Amino acid sequence: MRALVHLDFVERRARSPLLSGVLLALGLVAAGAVLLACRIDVQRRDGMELRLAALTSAVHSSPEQEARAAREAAASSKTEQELATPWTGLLAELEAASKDADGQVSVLAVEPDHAKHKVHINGESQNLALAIAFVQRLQMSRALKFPMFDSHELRADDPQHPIRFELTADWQDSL
Amino acid sequence: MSRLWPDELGAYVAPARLCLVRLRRRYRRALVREQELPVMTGGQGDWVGTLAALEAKLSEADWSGALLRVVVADHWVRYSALPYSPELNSAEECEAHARALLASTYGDAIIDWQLSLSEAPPGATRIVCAMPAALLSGLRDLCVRSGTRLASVQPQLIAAYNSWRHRIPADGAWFVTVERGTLAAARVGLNGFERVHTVRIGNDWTREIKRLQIFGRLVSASAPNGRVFVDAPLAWRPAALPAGPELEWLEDSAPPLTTLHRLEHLRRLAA
Repeated sequence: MRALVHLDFVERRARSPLLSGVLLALGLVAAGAVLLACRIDVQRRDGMELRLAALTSAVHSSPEQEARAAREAAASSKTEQELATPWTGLLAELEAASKDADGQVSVLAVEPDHAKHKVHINGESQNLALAIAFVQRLQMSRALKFPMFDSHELRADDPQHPIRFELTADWQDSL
Repeated sequence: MSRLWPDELGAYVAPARLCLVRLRRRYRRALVREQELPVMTGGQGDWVGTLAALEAKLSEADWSGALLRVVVADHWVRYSALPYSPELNSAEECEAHARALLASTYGDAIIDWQLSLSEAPPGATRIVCAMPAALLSGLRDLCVRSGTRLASVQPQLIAAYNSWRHRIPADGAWFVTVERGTLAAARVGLNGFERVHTVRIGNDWTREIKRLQIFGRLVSASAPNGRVFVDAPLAWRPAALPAGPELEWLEDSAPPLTTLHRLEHLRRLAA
């Protein structure tokens, strides 16, 4: 449609400087508000991108970091396994068995094998009969199952000629 | 009547008649009333009688308290096309140039008339209209006396064109508006008005119609966009029969409900 022709002897198109100024000011304020909102959005987006980058780098770490994490995980797992070993009950049984032998059997080392759920015990006694009695005593304990001699030897270099023995037993978790 | 949205009153003032419409604008526009009055005047150049009739109407309760929009018959105004000139920088220079142009066409009689120029983009021709300052001051004075707010005063050609502009093709045409005693024709191009002519016509409608038909045949034969759109009183239509292709009569069964559209509708119907 053709444009309206404005020709009027009374009505004039609004050309008030005040109105124009007010409209200009409103326009500038609106433009400023839009720019400010835009800037805030850009800053927020930048912040989110930084956080995303940090998260991404945490997920996709370098080989050194991965190796270190693996080591830490292994150490953590080992610690966890150590903590899972029922040391309190095991040592109490060994101490009780040694006491029952009137202190003539000494436990020299206790080494757990977590993978096989076994414990290796090194000990020393004045004679073989005491060592056998010690193993029989351990066979009655609730903490250990199937204690058996692995080896024994007579210490000829020692003036009292003690018996050094090694035995292996399974341990039970339900202590 | 709402003080926030007062009713609008449209008044068409012509040498021998006065047309009035009143519209309510509150929620949706509604025609309140319309009326045409014959006016006895001392002559074609005498608007005192018409203005007196308008003032008398404005003192009546049915027509008072409204915002007034006036359309002045082409008989009392003069037009000229003002081609674009890049040397004219200020509004004062444009008005001085327009006044000189009108004076070269109509003489010194219009030297103290009031001018109004149409708005147009740079490069486009503008229309300048001159109206007797006494007529304009008479309208202002009667509004002051009757307590009516004068919102607009437009010449008939502009008001009629604005009412029919949706029918004028974009590539150009002639637009003609006819009233008792006067015919105004405007050549409308791509950028708006290009030329304006006003002629005095007699009371023999059939003769004027035939002249208009000849004009239509001439312009339609000489230019591809020479269609002629005629805004004329409905009473003229029988005189134009059988209708030829040279003239396109503008008619509307249901005009848009604005004050000036309704006023133009009444002017065509009541003539």
